[in-house]
Amino acid sequence: MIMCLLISFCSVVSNAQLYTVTGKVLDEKGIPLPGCHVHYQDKCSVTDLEGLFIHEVNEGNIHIIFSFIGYDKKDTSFVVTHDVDMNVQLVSENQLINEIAVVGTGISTTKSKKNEVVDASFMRKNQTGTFIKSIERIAGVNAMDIGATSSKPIIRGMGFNRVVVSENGVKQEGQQWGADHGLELDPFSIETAEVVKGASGLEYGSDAIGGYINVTNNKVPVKNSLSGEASLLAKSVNDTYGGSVFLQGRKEKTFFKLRLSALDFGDYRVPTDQIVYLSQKMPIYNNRLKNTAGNEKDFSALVGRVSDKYKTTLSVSNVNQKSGFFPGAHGIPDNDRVKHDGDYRNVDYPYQKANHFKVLSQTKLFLPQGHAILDLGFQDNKRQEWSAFHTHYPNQPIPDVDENLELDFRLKTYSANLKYQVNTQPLGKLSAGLQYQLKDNDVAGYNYFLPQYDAYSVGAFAQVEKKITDKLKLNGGIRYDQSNVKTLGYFDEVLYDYFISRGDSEEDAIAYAQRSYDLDKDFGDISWLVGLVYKPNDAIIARMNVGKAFRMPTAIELGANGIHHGSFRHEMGDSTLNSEKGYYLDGNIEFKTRGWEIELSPYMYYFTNYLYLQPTGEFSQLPHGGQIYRYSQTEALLSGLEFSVYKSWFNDKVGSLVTLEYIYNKRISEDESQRYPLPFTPPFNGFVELDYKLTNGNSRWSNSRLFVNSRFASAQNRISNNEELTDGYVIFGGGISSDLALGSHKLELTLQASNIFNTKYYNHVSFYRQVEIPEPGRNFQLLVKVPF
Amino acid sequence: MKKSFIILAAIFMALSSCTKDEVDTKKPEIDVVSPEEDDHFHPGDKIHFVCNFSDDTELANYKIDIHFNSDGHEHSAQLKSGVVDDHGHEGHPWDYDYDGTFEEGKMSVKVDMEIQIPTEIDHDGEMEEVAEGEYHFGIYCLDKAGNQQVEFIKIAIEHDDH
Repeated sequence: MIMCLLISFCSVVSNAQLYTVTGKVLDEKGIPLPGCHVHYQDKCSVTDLEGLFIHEVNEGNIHIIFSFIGYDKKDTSFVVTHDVDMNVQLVSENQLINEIAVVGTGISTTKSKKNEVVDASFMRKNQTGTFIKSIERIAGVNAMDIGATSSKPIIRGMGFNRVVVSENGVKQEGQQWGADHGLELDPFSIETAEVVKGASGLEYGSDAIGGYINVTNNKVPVKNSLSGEASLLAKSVNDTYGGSVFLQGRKEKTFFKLRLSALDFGDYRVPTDQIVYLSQKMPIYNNRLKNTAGNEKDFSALVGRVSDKYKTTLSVSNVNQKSGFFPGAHGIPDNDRVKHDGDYRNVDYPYQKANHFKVLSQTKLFLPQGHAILDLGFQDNKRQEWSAFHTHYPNQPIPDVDENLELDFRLKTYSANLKYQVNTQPLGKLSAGLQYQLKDNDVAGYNYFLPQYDAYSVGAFAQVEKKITDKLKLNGGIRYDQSNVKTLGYFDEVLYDYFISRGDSEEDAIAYAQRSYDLDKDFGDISWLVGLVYKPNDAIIARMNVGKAFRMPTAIELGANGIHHGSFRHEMGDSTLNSEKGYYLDGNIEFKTRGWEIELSPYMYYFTNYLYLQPTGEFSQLPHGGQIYRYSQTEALLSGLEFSVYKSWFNDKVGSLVTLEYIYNKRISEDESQRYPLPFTPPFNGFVELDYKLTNGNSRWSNSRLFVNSRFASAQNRISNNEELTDGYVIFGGGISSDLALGSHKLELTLQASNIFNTKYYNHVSFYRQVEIPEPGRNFQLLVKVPF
Repeated sequence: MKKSFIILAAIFMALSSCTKDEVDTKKPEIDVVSPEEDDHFHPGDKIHFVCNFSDDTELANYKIDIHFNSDGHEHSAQLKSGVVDDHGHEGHPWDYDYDGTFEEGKMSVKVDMEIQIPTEIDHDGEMEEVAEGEYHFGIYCLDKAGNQQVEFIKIAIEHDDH
């Protein structure tokens, strides 16, 4: 939960008389805030449903700190000579100036990095297709979509392994398996999320070069309570029906949380009746993209104990997803396979299955001058692609078991994080940590793509935050990572025989049949950051960071060797790749006054080594293999600018928001003809929204609001070699949300529409862009939440 | 502090000001003269392939890929044993793969070649007739930078009795 900061500097005289401090914590509107942390010395209590708290305190000068997610921390000191009753008002974070909201396991965010906090109300209003799609309105965040139901984040034009996504502070594995694979997160279970744009690898693992997203759902319920929530979701674009039941409770110290979710969806609708795939016109029957149906079943359970000295939780969760691939863009074009099969909800070959099982133990100790955290985790990722058995080598035997299992990746990850944070007077806030991760990846299936590998990494970091003057804060940190990857060699006998039977030379046959090599590689490097926060007055805050970031190449980048569906690409790793390494400079300036909130964030990275997938101009000799794409390294420059302005009008009745993002990047080369832009770069894009708070004359309806919005992007004409040019687009959406009182129950309703005009457009960074499939069409969505 | 921001912004503007780099993102062009869409062939025939390839910078490689795509049947390579084709014949799908490399430095090349359609295919030591039906005649072309162009033509292979 919220981290405890600056605990009690005052020394207390011994034998002092004890008094009680009681009070109530309220928000700006005077509504009680349950679950707020109230720190006194090394004790931490949590407010109850009425926002009430109680502390036994010593006589004399005392120091109490109030903290709550999404709200500015409040620090008070006063002299106690008798029992005290107090009212405390917390101000929500968007008015907060130099503190950065901290969520998750209590890991402090580098203060000079601006972060965005996404809370439950944001999620409710913006819950679109996927969680990542929901946060796309943040300037600098884009969703790489894989159909209508899954997506992965791109921050500042960087995706895949360059964005660390974690749940409750523990890094989520499974992102590394290519573009056709989304995140494995229960869309209903996100309580709050934190998004940090820009290199944030110091604390979160060196991979976070592009950014960091942390989703939290381990907030402690209030004492002696039992509560829950039922959610229902329906979407028209792919006839989604979904629901989730959530239950949580707490006695004095022990608490639990339980959630069950299920989603079932049909083939999604696209505003076109034809796509062009490999120069072939493929019909889309009834505007529905065949075999994109699927389902998801998730559960999570958590038990925990919390006291004023510690908080510990143990959680088990499982996310299970199954979704089909559009067969018209999988393999060789074949009109026959895209014909409507009479059922929009079935999942036929080819499809993918993902199962993510996770056990997490998280413990936090509140210490007199700081805290310590120990997280232990185990993750079991299974990802499979199923496709009716086919082989391009006539001599390949049909597998004895699971004959239609084409690719099977099984990754087991063990992780341990240890962090300690302490406040020392002359030095400021110090934190240090150790991270360890062990990965064991097995492969199976009748096709070959990725070698079997084992890998481990160890990272250690130290960081300091120091107040220089009232207006200036400085922070700095350093991290060292060491890792090792061992891949297992694999000689493909069937392929060898095939090449020989085809009359190829022994040399060629061996070269191709050796799908991977025994490899044992070590990587290690330092990352560092120096940042400052300057706040000349209440209206302005400026942040600036300079640093170095690096990440180790992944096993895929080092050792992939196989054909990727959809594009026929033969993707090849390169075992000689070095670590990705770059220097960055980023800034952020916020200006807030009289209803205006303006923010500008420029940034620049200079990569001395950037890893990317590069077309080679050569064909693969594998039967039906397309072009060879090889993981390559280059010097690169990446820069961009994000801008957002919010203005509230008519006493906050109307709000208007505009966000814009521009990215410019390219490879650096002495050879002019090699200065290509980097692949998967979002074009200039933005988001506009008008929001109107309705006056509720009727007591049944409350918190009603109406909104209209638009998302737009310019054409992407700066493309990498063999990327497709993508036209610009403008799409519109809108909706209404309200609370409805039904007897003693309250329903939270949100009805919204996206792509209202059913515009046919392409998202340059979508997986399906390469196969010319437009984005989903018009969608109406209803979300009903019933808290109980 | 404000100054440093102005400097930062200035650096940013300077770096992002568009200096046009001479990169090649243009796909090569494929102009197929022969065969034509829906051309019919018999097993044992030769397909006369004539095609003009061109690119604005430099051609690299091309590839011809012919495979079975008959209605009602799965993609040829999915079949382990022979198939029953559209006309009730037992047969084995014909698969053809050819890779060609262009001479270095060429921006335009005309390829003129003959492709022999077999009458029988060796399948696990047994000779089987070539399956009748629709085939995809695919032509792929890559330029030096890896930009890819593809062209697919549908042709049919039928036995003499049709």
